[in-house]
Amino acid sequence: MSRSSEREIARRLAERDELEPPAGLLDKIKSEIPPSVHIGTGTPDERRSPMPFQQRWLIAASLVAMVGAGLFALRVREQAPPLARVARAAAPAPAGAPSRQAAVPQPAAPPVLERLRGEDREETLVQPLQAPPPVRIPEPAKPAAKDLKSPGPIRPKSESGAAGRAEAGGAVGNAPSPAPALQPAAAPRPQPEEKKEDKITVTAESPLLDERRVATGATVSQTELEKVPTARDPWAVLQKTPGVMTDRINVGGNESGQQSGYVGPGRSGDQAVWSIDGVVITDATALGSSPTYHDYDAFEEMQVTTSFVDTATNRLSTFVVALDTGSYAASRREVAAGRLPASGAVRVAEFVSAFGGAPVRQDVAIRAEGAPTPFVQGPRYRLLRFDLRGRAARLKDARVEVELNPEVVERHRLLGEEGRAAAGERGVTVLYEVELRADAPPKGRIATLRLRDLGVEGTLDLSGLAPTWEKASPEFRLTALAAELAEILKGSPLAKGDLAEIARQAREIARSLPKSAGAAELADLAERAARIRGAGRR
Amino acid sequence: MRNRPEDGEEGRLLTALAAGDRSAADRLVEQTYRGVYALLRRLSGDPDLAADLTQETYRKAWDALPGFDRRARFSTWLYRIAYTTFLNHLRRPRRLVPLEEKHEAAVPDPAPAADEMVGRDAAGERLRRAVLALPEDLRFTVTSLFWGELPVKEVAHHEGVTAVAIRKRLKKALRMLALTLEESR
Repeated sequence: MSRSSEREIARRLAERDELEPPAGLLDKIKSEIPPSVHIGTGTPDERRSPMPFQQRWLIAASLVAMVGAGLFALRVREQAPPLARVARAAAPAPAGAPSRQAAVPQPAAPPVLERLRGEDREETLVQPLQAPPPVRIPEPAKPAAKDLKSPGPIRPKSESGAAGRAEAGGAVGNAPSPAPALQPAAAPRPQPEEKKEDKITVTAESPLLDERRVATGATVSQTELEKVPTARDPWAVLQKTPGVMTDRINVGGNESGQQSGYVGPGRSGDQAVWSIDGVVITDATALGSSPTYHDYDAFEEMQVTTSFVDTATNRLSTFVVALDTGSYAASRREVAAGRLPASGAVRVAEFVSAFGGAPVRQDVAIRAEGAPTPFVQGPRYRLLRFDLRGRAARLKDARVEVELNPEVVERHRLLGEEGRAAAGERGVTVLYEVELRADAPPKGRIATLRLRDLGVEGTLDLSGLAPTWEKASPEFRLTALAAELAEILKGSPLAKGDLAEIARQAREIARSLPKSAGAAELADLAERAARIRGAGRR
Repeated sequence: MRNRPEDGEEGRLLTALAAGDRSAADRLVEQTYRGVYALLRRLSGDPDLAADLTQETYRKAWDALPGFDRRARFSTWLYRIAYTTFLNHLRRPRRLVPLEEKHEAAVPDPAPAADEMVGRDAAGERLRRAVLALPEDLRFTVTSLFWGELPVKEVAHHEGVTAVAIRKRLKKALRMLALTLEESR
């Protein structure tokens, strides 16, 4: 690529076309300035070391690497040649049991043995023990070994009594075995001075670099492997969690400084939360970097929860009310045309709000209800339903906050997606699936729903829970069925029910609510969807 | 030792803001919002989206201001928030769904639709996409220098590297852009 085209690109990048902000933007921004603005008050000058954190880190890492390399080299040098290591504690070979190790010294002693003789021998009394045979090398200079000059060749046993000790010769490498010439160690002729003999026990450590097996490359032992740095930051752990998808690939920790966007089963990215020691440090301000650099070696445990939010960590759930139930109507149209709706087009929140309760006279009214359902994840799970009735125009855009009580609720999830609830014509309905704590008190608040802008709140206590699914109100059951239907159509991994069962239950509700067309409609939708799916499978 | 980059009018306004003078926030917005908008406009290629993201940038800035340690200039810091806001918009496109939008419209698509490209020449749009496809460090370097109009020294300070390193990055980025554009021709 020519330099001129690079210059041309630079020129085009630097082009300044007219980019005037739209009228009113300034006022909008100004109107959003909070009443009191706080700013970090520290004087910026010298609070930090002039060296950036990353550079300091790199220098520290280089120092560690250099020291490590030095130690490693020292160790390798110590071990070359590798057989130099002498362990003196091993026992001698059992008498009369020639073994693989008890081979013979080479006619020309290898340099290693020369060295051993010169430096590492030790005088001991031979103890006949039942133990793995060590390699022993006869002491050449002793008078008793006069037939053996130097570690020289093994003599045939006919030669002299010295052959009795030939069995103790060291074997290094692939020495040819002059087996017929060997005399067992139990050979007679004990002489007083023979009891005292030099014994050198040689054991070899497996060398770090095994040159015999690999032509190029290296074999790295576990000791070294344990010291190899690994990616152990939360993102590396997170991307190994089943079902979790992160928006960037963390290789060896190269993304540690960036908060990853991530989704878990049934949840969208904006519902993901991460915390350290119970403090939520999700990148709320979207600065794109971790709010703090952590000492990843200091983490004792990482816990990844998918689909549900740990209430003790994060008790607040907020969402914005949007005016739309189009997904439900669109899904009905698709199914009526003989197709299953695309999973992306199914919105649980919109299905739920399509089955809102009766209208109210007040500006805003909140109803709360809860019960176990056939579709929840386990026995301690309950479905909670908050029904906000009122003038849609007032509810639209409202920011809703639901506070779950961590003393009662173990974990929770908002059924739906995108951190929003959909408002139908008459109001908004939201569902939460909660797991009650095993040690929850018999009475107490489960959740509080607040509309801060409108100054309204509603609460749900444990006493407000219906004991069984059947005892829950028909409206509640209908909403739960709608949500389950949506989850099934979406292909959510949290969907538990099947379409035929939903259709059957909706029919039942339709009979008890003859004035409401919604239940029959839902039953139709589920039945048709079941038929389409059945036909697709055949 | 690097000099503190926060000087002049901006520094005075920040000091006033720290002292509780809320009107200083207004002044800071007036001084910076054109630059933020222009950057987001160039990044996104979409005037409406740029306006939305500009508002979002300031919302985040007010929230994050207590943590602003004044090591960088306010405008640089704001620029970084705007840049990240834009990237997050690409990555998490369904986070905010305007009320008017039908559900079909919320399907994420980081690249603008063909009709969004009205008024932009195709070459400019190709260049924009090529810049967005650069590796993160190079992309940040190019956008901050050209579209954020930050001085090299300031970008270097923010990235914690030397100005020479930034120039090297820029050179590499231009080479990659030239290659990409050549291939797409």
